[in-house]
Amino acid sequence: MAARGEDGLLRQALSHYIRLRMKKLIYFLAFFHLSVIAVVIFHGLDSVVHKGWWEKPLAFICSINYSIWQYGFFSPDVGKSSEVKIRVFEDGGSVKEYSTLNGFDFYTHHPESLNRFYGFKHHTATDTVFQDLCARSVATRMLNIHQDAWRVDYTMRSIHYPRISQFKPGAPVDTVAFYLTTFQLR
Amino acid sequence: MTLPTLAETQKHLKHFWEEPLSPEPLGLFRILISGFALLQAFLWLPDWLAFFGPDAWIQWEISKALNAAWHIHIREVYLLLHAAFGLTENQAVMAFFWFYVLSASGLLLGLYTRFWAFLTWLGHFIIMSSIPSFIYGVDIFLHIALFYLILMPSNKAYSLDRRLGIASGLPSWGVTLSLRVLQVHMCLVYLSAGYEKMLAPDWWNGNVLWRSLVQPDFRQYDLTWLAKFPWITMLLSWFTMLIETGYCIGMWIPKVRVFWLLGIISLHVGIMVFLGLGLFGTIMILLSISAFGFAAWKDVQRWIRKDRQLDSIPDFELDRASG
Repeated sequence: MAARGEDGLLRQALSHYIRLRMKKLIYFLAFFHLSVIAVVIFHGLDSVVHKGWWEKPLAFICSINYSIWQYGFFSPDVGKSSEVKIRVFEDGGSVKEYSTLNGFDFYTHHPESLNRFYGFKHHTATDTVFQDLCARSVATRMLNIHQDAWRVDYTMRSIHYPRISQFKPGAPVDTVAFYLTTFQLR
Repeated sequence: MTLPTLAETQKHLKHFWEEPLSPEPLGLFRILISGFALLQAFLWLPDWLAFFGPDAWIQWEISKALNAAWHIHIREVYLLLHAAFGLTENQAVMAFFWFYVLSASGLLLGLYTRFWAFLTWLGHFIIMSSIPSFIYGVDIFLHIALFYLILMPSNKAYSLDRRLGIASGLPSWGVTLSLRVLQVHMCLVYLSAGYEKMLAPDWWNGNVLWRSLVQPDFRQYDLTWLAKFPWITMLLSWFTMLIETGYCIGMWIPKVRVFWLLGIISLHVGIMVFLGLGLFGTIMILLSISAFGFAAWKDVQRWIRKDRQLDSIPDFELDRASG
């Protein structure tokens, strides 16, 4: 009887000990998590993040919980916008034009879907390999939608809006075409 | 003024990280985030195939090429569902949509909460992996929140788990740690957002805000008349930097917490109305309410109670108290 009681006490003590250790471990992991966020968010690892064995583990953690992300909303790129313009040439000579400046309403059903093109344009504007792949992908989709089409032009333009002090009502906005490609079926 | 001793600092830190807190904010966090995931999903439904289908704007082969080895692309979901049930590509993409909606609904109800939290997170992970070029802030913050919901004891309040006795509603160190992690994370987010802005001269003179309001990516109304009154965008920029950078201080001071929360809400309502980023503004508001809403509400209740107590004291007693 006494031995059984001692066993029970021992088991209780052991489970209490394990629980305490687990609590400490969880607190440690939470502090580690917040510390990594703090260091990354304030650019503490910018110069070394792509230069060591930790690159992949950090990328993995980032895709799991996206905590390791820098949140400088609207800091670096606002004012430098871009436009994607697509021209679809159909049989019979008609040409249809689509531009992200007019919204992609021909394709999206909701403004929230439209907002996703901001990221898309930013991504394609900065990645030259991706520009080609995207242009081909978009052209394929256009040819699927427009069964009579035989040619698709895909143009990307950078747009730079004037500073508030330089703004003149009605003056044209500064644009530069930096990518142009044509797909032709004939 | 004397600096606190090491022992006092340790005591304060222990109190901060371990004082018993109500699990209600975590229950609210779960409901707000899962509700938001459902809202976003249904807004996305008419365009779902255009983003995720085999003939999407960015085709599977290209979006898959942007993935790391550990990502799970929608194409893999299709291969699995095709092998198991013979579904076509479009059917598999729509089946995935309903799987995501079902998971978020399970999370909302809070029955076997962590299981549904994991499935919702997994669904969102597949979404993020499948459209890497279309994701933006709203997806990132939703993903962070869903990851937290897997780990945090959010079933301790406002859940079927609680009602059926699967989870207790008692405060625990897990509740306190979870709430503190969420609060500190939000403080870091806003501190970095405000600090980054302060480093850019164009934020100080209002040009960034001006360009955001007039460029077609975000423009909702013709606000070019603001060019005649540059001080308006400048003051609004200063307000943005103040409210974001000061978030990590203001949210911990009971006397100003409510006003700071209202400030951050008004900032995001402004983003929703004038920049058209409705879902992004909404999730940021929901995260701040989850992290600090209960504390702010308690502050308000305390003020009301204090006012009532003062009202119940006869005037001559108040006069005597004030000397």
